[in-house]
Amino acid sequence: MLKNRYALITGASRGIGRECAILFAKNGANLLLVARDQDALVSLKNELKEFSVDIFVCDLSDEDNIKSLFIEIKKITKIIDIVVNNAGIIESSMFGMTKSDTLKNMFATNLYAPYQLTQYATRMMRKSSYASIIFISSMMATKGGIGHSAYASSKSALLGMMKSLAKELAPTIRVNAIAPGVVKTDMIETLSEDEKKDYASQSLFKRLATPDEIASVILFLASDMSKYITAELINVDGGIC
Amino acid sequence: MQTETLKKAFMEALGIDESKDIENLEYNTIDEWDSVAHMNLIGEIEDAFDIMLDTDDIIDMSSFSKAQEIVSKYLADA
Repeated sequence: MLKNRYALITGASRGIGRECAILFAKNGANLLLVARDQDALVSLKNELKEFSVDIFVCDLSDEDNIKSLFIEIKKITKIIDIVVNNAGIIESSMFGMTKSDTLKNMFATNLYAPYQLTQYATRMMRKSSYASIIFISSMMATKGGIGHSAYASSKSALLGMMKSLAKELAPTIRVNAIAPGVVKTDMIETLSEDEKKDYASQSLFKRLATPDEIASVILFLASDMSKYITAELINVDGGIC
Repeated sequence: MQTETLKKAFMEALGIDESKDIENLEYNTIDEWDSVAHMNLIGEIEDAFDIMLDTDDIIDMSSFSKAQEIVSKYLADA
Protein backbone atom coordinates (compact mmCIF):
# COMPACT_ATOMS: atom_id res chain seq x y z
CA MET A 1 0.00 0.00 0.00
CA LEU A 2 2.94 2.35 0.52
CA LYS A 3 5.45 0.92 -1.92
CA ASN A 4 8.50 3.18 -2.41
CA ARG A 5 6.97 6.03 -0.42
CA TYR A 6 9.07 7.87 2.13
CA ALA A 7 7.36 7.95 5.51
CA LEU A 8 8.59 10.05 8.41
CA ILE A 9 7.35 8.82 11.79
CA THR A 10 8.09 10.65 15.04
CA GLY A 11 8.05 8.94 18.40
CA ALA A 12 8.89 5.81 16.44
CA SER A 13 10.75 3.88 19.13
CA ARG A 14 7.75 2.86 21.24
CA GLY A 15 4.03 2.25 21.33
CA ILE A 16 1.92 3.49 18.46
CA GLY A 17 4.90 4.91 16.55
CA ARG A 18 6.79 1.63 16.72
CA GLU A 19 3.78 -0.39 15.61
CA CYS A 20 3.17 2.07 12.82
CA ALA A 21 6.78 1.73 11.64
CA ILE A 22 6.48 -2.06 11.50
CA LEU A 23 3.18 -1.91 9.62
CA PHE A 24 4.44 0.71 7.17
CA ALA A 25 7.60 -1.33 6.51
CA LYS A 26 5.54 -4.43 5.73
CA ASN A 27 3.56 -2.29 3.29
CA GLY A 28 6.63 -1.22 1.35
CA ALA A 29 7.43 2.22 2.77
CA ASN A 30 10.94 3.62 3.11
CA LEU A 31 11.07 4.56 6.76
CA LEU A 32 12.53 7.71 8.30
CA LEU A 33 12.18 7.01 12.02
CA VAL A 34 12.66 9.72 14.64
CA ALA A 35 12.86 9.34 18.43
CA ARG A 36 14.95 10.37 21.42
CA ASP A 37 15.82 6.83 22.51
CA GLN A 38 18.78 5.71 20.41
CA ASP A 39 18.90 2.15 21.79
CA ALA A 40 15.24 1.57 21.06
CA LEU A 41 15.61 2.98 17.54
CA VAL A 42 18.62 0.77 16.80
CA SER A 43 16.74 -2.23 18.13
CA LEU A 44 13.78 -1.46 15.86
CA LYS A 45 16.07 -0.96 12.85
CA ASN A 46 17.60 -4.37 13.54
CA GLU A 47 14.17 -5.92 13.79
CA LEU A 48 13.30 -4.41 10.41
CA LYS A 49 16.64 -5.19 8.76
CA GLU A 50 15.10 -6.57 5.58
CA PHE A 51 13.31 -3.24 5.01
CA SER A 52 14.42 0.28 4.09
CA VAL A 53 14.90 2.04 7.44
CA ASP A 54 16.84 5.16 8.43
CA ILE A 55 16.85 6.28 12.04
CA PHE A 56 17.38 9.72 13.55
CA VAL A 57 17.93 10.45 17.22
CA CYS A 58 16.32 13.81 17.87
CA ASP A 59 14.72 15.79 20.67
CA LEU A 60 11.97 17.61 18.80
CA SER A 61 11.32 20.13 21.55
CA ASP A 62 14.21 22.23 20.15
CA GLU A 63 13.65 23.85 16.73
CA ASP A 64 17.37 23.79 15.92
CA ASN A 65 17.26 20.02 16.29
CA ILE A 66 14.34 19.87 13.88
CA LYS A 67 16.26 21.87 11.28
CA SER A 68 19.31 19.61 11.70
CA LEU A 69 17.03 16.59 11.33
CA PHE A 70 15.80 17.75 7.95
CA ILE A 71 19.31 18.55 6.76
CA GLU A 72 20.14 14.90 7.49
CA ILE A 73 16.94 13.62 5.86
CA LYS A 74 17.71 15.61 2.70
CA LYS A 75 20.89 13.58 2.32
CA ILE A 76 18.67 10.51 1.92
CA THR A 77 15.66 11.82 0.00
CA LYS A 78 14.44 15.06 -1.57
CA ILE A 79 10.79 14.05 -1.25
CA ILE A 80 8.76 12.96 1.76
CA ASP A 81 5.37 11.39 1.05
CA ILE A 82 3.99 10.71 4.51
CA VAL A 83 4.44 12.33 7.91
CA VAL A 84 3.08 10.74 11.07
CA ASN A 85 3.29 13.25 13.89
CA ASN A 86 3.13 10.78 16.73
CA ALA A 87 5.66 11.94 19.33
CA GLY A 88 3.97 13.22 22.45
CA ILE A 89 4.06 13.30 26.21
CA ILE A 90 1.42 13.02 28.89
CA GLU A 91 1.49 14.13 32.48
CA SER A 92 -1.45 14.12 34.84
CA SER A 93 -2.24 16.82 37.37
CA MET A 94 -5.41 18.46 38.57
CA PHE A 95 -6.09 21.86 37.00
CA GLY A 96 -5.31 23.90 40.10
CA MET A 97 -2.08 21.99 40.69
CA THR A 98 -0.65 22.12 37.16
CA LYS A 99 2.72 23.85 37.13
CA SER A 100 3.57 26.38 34.45
CA ASP A 101 6.53 24.23 33.37
CA THR A 102 4.28 21.22 32.95
CA LEU A 103 2.01 23.21 30.66
CA LYS A 104 4.96 24.58 28.68
CA ASN A 105 6.59 21.16 28.26
CA MET A 106 3.33 19.63 27.17
CA PHE A 107 2.78 22.27 24.50
CA ALA A 108 6.45 22.21 23.43
CA THR A 109 6.29 18.50 22.64
CA ASN A 110 2.64 18.00 21.71
CA LEU A 111 2.05 21.16 19.67
CA TYR A 112 5.12 23.28 18.89
CA ALA A 113 7.24 20.30 17.81
CA PRO A 114 4.74 18.86 15.30
CA TYR A 115 3.97 22.40 14.11
CA GLN A 116 7.61 23.18 13.38
CA LEU A 117 8.43 19.72 12.07
CA THR A 118 5.51 19.94 9.65
CA GLN A 119 6.68 23.36 8.47
CA TYR A 120 9.93 21.79 7.29
CA ALA A 121 8.31 18.59 6.05
CA THR A 122 5.72 20.26 3.83
CA ARG A 123 8.50 21.87 1.80
CA MET A 124 9.64 18.34 0.92
CA MET A 125 6.12 17.03 0.26
CA ARG A 126 4.96 19.45 -2.43
CA LYS A 127 6.26 17.23 -5.27
CA SER A 128 4.83 14.01 -3.87
CA SER A 129 1.83 12.52 -5.63
CA TYR A 130 0.74 10.77 -2.43
CA ALA A 131 1.34 13.40 0.25
CA SER A 132 -0.40 12.72 3.53
CA ILE A 133 0.13 14.16 7.00
CA ILE A 134 -1.36 12.44 10.03
CA PHE A 135 -1.48 13.97 13.49
CA ILE A 136 -1.94 11.73 16.50
CA SER A 137 -4.29 13.59 18.77
CA SER A 138 -6.26 11.99 21.58
CA MET A 139 -9.82 11.33 22.66
CA MET A 140 -9.01 13.82 25.45
CA ALA A 141 -8.88 16.58 22.80
CA THR A 142 -12.65 16.53 22.37
CA LYS A 143 -13.82 14.77 25.52
CA GLY A 144 -11.41 16.10 28.16
CA GLY A 145 -10.32 14.10 31.18
CA ILE A 146 -10.01 14.66 34.90
CA GLY A 147 -6.40 15.57 35.66
CA HIS A 148 -5.61 16.02 31.96
CA SER A 149 -6.38 19.68 31.25
CA ALA A 150 -2.84 20.40 30.00
CA TYR A 151 -2.61 17.28 27.84
CA ALA A 152 -6.15 17.69 26.48
CA SER A 153 -5.47 21.35 25.65
CA SER A 154 -2.33 20.51 23.71
CA LYS A 155 -4.03 17.71 21.77
CA SER A 156 -7.05 19.89 21.07
CA ALA A 157 -4.79 22.64 19.70
CA LEU A 158 -3.35 20.05 17.35
CA LEU A 159 -6.80 19.61 15.81
CA GLY A 160 -7.07 23.34 15.10
CA MET A 161 -3.73 23.18 13.37
CA MET A 162 -4.77 20.10 11.38
CA LYS A 163 -7.98 21.72 10.09
CA SER A 164 -6.19 24.92 9.07
CA LEU A 165 -3.31 23.10 7.47
CA ALA A 166 -5.66 20.90 5.46
CA LYS A 167 -7.17 24.03 3.94
CA GLU A 168 -3.81 25.66 3.22
CA LEU A 169 -2.23 22.58 1.67
CA ALA A 170 -5.14 21.20 -0.39
CA PRO A 171 -5.21 19.68 -2.92
CA THR A 172 -1.53 18.75 -2.88
CA ILE A 173 -1.26 17.41 0.66
CA ARG A 174 -3.96 15.64 2.66
CA VAL A 175 -3.98 16.41 6.38
CA ASN A 176 -5.88 14.34 8.93
CA ALA A 177 -5.80 13.32 12.57
CA ILE A 178 -6.77 10.38 14.66
CA ALA A 179 -7.92 10.47 18.25
CA PRO A 180 -7.02 7.23 19.97
CA GLY A 181 -8.63 6.22 23.21
CA VAL A 182 -6.45 4.75 25.92
CA VAL A 183 -3.93 2.45 24.29
CA LYS A 184 -1.82 -0.24 25.93
CA THR A 185 1.58 1.46 25.68
CA ASP A 186 4.30 2.70 28.05
CA MET A 187 2.60 6.09 27.94
CA ILE A 188 -0.30 5.01 30.14
CA GLU A 189 1.98 3.98 32.99
CA THR A 190 1.19 7.38 34.51
CA LEU A 191 -2.41 6.19 34.92
CA SER A 192 -3.44 4.28 38.02
CA GLU A 193 -4.84 0.76 37.69
CA ASP A 194 -8.26 2.12 38.65
CA GLU A 195 -8.05 4.72 35.87
CA LYS A 196 -7.09 2.03 33.33
CA LYS A 197 -10.02 -0.12 34.43
CA ASP A 198 -12.31 2.87 34.26
CA TYR A 199 -11.24 3.75 30.71
CA ALA A 200 -11.53 0.11 29.65
CA SER A 201 -15.06 -0.05 31.04
CA GLN A 202 -16.04 3.09 29.10
CA SER A 203 -15.05 1.47 25.81
CA LEU A 204 -17.90 -0.35 24.11
CA PHE A 205 -15.44 -3.22 23.67
CA LYS A 206 -14.74 -3.20 27.45
CA ARG A 207 -10.98 -3.17 26.93
CA LEU A 208 -8.14 -0.82 26.08
CA ALA A 209 -6.89 -0.51 22.50
CA THR A 210 -3.71 -2.18 21.30
CA PRO A 211 -1.10 -0.20 19.31
CA ASP A 212 -1.68 -2.23 16.13
CA GLU A 213 -5.37 -1.25 16.18
CA ILE A 214 -4.30 2.39 16.03
CA ALA A 215 -1.52 1.81 13.49
CA SER A 216 -3.93 0.22 11.01
CA VAL A 217 -6.02 3.41 10.92
CA ILE A 218 -2.86 5.48 10.43
CA LEU A 219 -1.96 3.19 7.51
CA PHE A 220 -5.40 3.81 6.03
CA LEU A 221 -4.92 7.59 6.23
CA ALA A 222 -1.41 7.32 4.79
CA SER A 223 -2.51 5.21 1.83
CA ASP A 224 -4.53 5.87 -1.31
CA MET A 225 -7.48 4.11 0.31
CA SER A 226 -8.24 7.46 1.94
CA LYS A 227 -7.36 9.68 -1.03
CA TYR A 228 -10.62 11.68 -0.82
CA ILE A 229 -10.28 12.28 2.92
CA THR A 230 -8.72 15.42 4.31
CA ALA A 231 -9.32 17.76 7.30
CA GLU A 232 -10.84 14.78 9.10
CA LEU A 233 -10.55 13.52 12.65
CA ILE A 234 -11.07 9.79 13.10
CA ASN A 235 -11.86 8.61 16.62
CA VAL A 236 -10.28 5.24 17.39
CA ASP A 237 -11.49 4.95 20.95
CA GLY A 238 -13.78 1.94 21.05
CA GLY A 239 -16.85 4.14 21.01
CA ILE A 240 -16.22 6.00 24.26
CA CYS A 241 -18.95 8.65 24.52
CA MET B 1 25.36 31.16 -12.15
CA GLN B 2 23.68 31.71 -8.80
CA THR B 3 21.34 34.28 -10.33
CA GLU B 4 20.41 31.94 -13.17
CA THR B 5 19.73 29.06 -10.76
CA LEU B 6 17.57 31.35 -8.65
CA LYS B 7 15.67 32.57 -11.70
CA LYS B 8 14.97 28.98 -12.71
CA ALA B 9 13.69 28.29 -9.20
CA PHE B 10 11.34 31.28 -9.46
CA MET B 11 10.08 30.21 -12.88
CA GLU B 12 9.54 26.62 -11.78
CA ALA B 13 7.82 27.48 -8.49
CA LEU B 14 5.65 30.31 -9.74
CA GLY B 15 4.93 28.88 -13.18
CA ILE B 16 6.19 31.99 -14.99
CA ASP B 17 8.61 32.69 -17.82
CA GLU B 18 11.29 35.35 -18.34
CA SER B 19 8.76 37.80 -19.76
CA LYS B 20 7.89 38.61 -16.12
CA ASP B 21 11.13 40.57 -15.48
CA ILE B 22 12.05 38.11 -12.76
CA GLU B 23 14.98 40.05 -11.35
CA ASN B 24 12.64 42.87 -10.34
CA LEU B 25 9.84 40.71 -8.97
CA GLU B 26 8.35 41.47 -5.57
CA TYR B 27 6.07 39.35 -3.43
CA ASN B 28 2.35 39.75 -4.10
CA THR B 29 2.88 42.05 -7.10
CA ILE B 30 1.90 39.34 -9.58
CA ASP B 31 -0.95 36.84 -9.28
CA GLU B 32 1.46 33.92 -9.47
CA TRP B 33 3.42 34.91 -6.33
CA ASP B 34 0.88 34.62 -3.55
CA SER B 35 1.27 33.10 -0.07
CA VAL B 36 0.68 29.54 -1.29
CA ALA B 37 3.16 29.89 -4.16
CA HIS B 38 5.64 31.42 -1.73
CA MET B 39 6.02 28.10 0.07
CA ASN B 40 6.52 26.32 -3.25
CA LEU B 41 9.20 28.88 -4.03
CA ILE B 42 10.92 28.23 -0.71
CA GLY B 43 10.97 24.49 -1.40
CA GLU B 44 12.28 25.04 -4.92
CA ILE B 45 15.08 27.33 -3.70
CA GLU B 46 16.02 24.87 -0.95
CA ASP B 47 16.25 22.06 -3.50
CA ALA B 48 18.16 24.16 -6.03
CA PHE B 49 20.82 25.29 -3.58
CA ASP B 50 20.66 22.37 -1.14
CA ILE B 51 20.00 24.63 1.82
CA MET B 52 17.41 24.73 4.62
CA LEU B 53 15.94 28.16 5.25
CA ASP B 54 14.95 29.53 8.65
CA THR B 55 11.41 30.80 9.16
CA ASP B 56 12.60 34.41 9.56
CA ASP B 57 14.29 34.27 6.16
CA ILE B 58 11.18 32.75 4.59
CA ILE B 59 9.18 35.71 5.85
CA ASP B 60 11.85 38.19 4.75
CA MET B 61 12.05 36.85 1.21
CA SER B 62 9.91 39.60 -0.24
CA SER B 63 11.60 40.07 -3.61
CA PHE B 64 13.97 38.42 -6.05
CA SER B 65 16.84 40.64 -4.89
CA LYS B 66 16.10 39.81 -1.24
CA ALA B 67 16.10 36.12 -2.18
CA GLN B 68 19.53 36.58 -3.76
CA GLU B 69 20.80 38.19 -0.59
CA ILE B 70 19.40 35.44 1.65
CA VAL B 71 20.66 32.59 -0.53
CA SER B 72 24.12 34.17 -0.67
CA LYS B 73 24.18 34.25 3.13
CA TYR B 74 23.44 30.52 3.33
CA LEU B 75 25.96 29.61 0.65
CA ALA B 76 28.62 31.64 2.44
CA ASP B 77 27.87 29.81 5.69
CA ALA B 78 28.01 26.37 4.05
